[in-house]
Amino acid sequence: MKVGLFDHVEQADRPLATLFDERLTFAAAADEAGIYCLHVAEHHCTPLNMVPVPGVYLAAVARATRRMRLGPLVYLLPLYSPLRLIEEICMLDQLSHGRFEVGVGRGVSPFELNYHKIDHDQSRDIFIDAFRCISAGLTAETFSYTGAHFNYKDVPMPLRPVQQPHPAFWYGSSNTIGATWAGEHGMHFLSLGPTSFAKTNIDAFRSALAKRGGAAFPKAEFRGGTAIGVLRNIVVADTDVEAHRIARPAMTHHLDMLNWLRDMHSSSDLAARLSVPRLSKKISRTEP
Amino acid sequence: MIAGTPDTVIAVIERQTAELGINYLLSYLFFGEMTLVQALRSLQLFRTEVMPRIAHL
Repeated sequence: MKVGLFDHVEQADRPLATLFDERLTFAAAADEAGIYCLHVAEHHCTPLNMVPVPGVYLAAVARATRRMRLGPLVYLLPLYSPLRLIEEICMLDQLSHGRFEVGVGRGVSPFELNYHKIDHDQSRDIFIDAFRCISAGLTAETFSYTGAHFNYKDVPMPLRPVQQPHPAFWYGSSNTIGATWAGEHGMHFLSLGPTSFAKTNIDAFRSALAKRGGAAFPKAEFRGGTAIGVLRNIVVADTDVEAHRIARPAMTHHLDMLNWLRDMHSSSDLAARLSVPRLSKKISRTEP
Repeated sequence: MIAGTPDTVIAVIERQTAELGINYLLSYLFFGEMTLVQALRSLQLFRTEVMPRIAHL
């Protein structure tokens, strides 16, 4: 089994510039430790995530590390210009010398999409159109695309990624619709939440992947060619007591950040649309 | 959340890996109010005591 590293880069009690310096120091240590890939979340308008433009942050990570792979988990495609994102992916794969991993998604939070004037009901259609558009554009020398939301004609494409034909796609999902779609498209896959919840999504992914016949861009370092994983907050210390002394307040703060927008909008129609289970502050040793 | 000594953490990872059939563990090691010193210590133990013993899973 390989080990990756995830980060939201939550707001903390020190200046953001200090927090960024600390995270880059930590990324260098993770690189040294043999972590496979640093996956960075994208969220907007919430203290949960102080790197809402993950490409900018990942450019710094690329230059602070040497072996560890890196990427967004995930780029919220409805919030991007596809052409600009193709250019960004090429630049980040070049800056990291071929270590970039492209996580894509529609954006699970209706509040965040709403701030960016994206209708939650349309976000999956926009996402799929954007994904097709970006996939096509990453390999085109002259780019043309016609879709319901995006259209390009005869666009010169002088940038190329290091990895050919392009970096692999990853998907993170907390529901079986997204998990199935990711499997049908042969992506690498991550889920989260309590083990029974994660298992439902992983099983849906695996079933769709099997029907497809495997990964679109296989990775030999993962058994079966497809990375399939789960997110876990982990604190290791010399004693269980010490680990919990550190973990409890850290997790409480993290959950406050995670639920911040949901709690702010608790009486709105949008709240009912969020499909991710609300994690309680009851902290067990074995479940996130 | 998985918190504890290397032995505690390994036991949970082994069980969940078997239940889920995964080949990738996405760890979240530096979060919430943790200080850099706390996160680096946790990473050090994770690297030396945990990662070598879950690599075969």
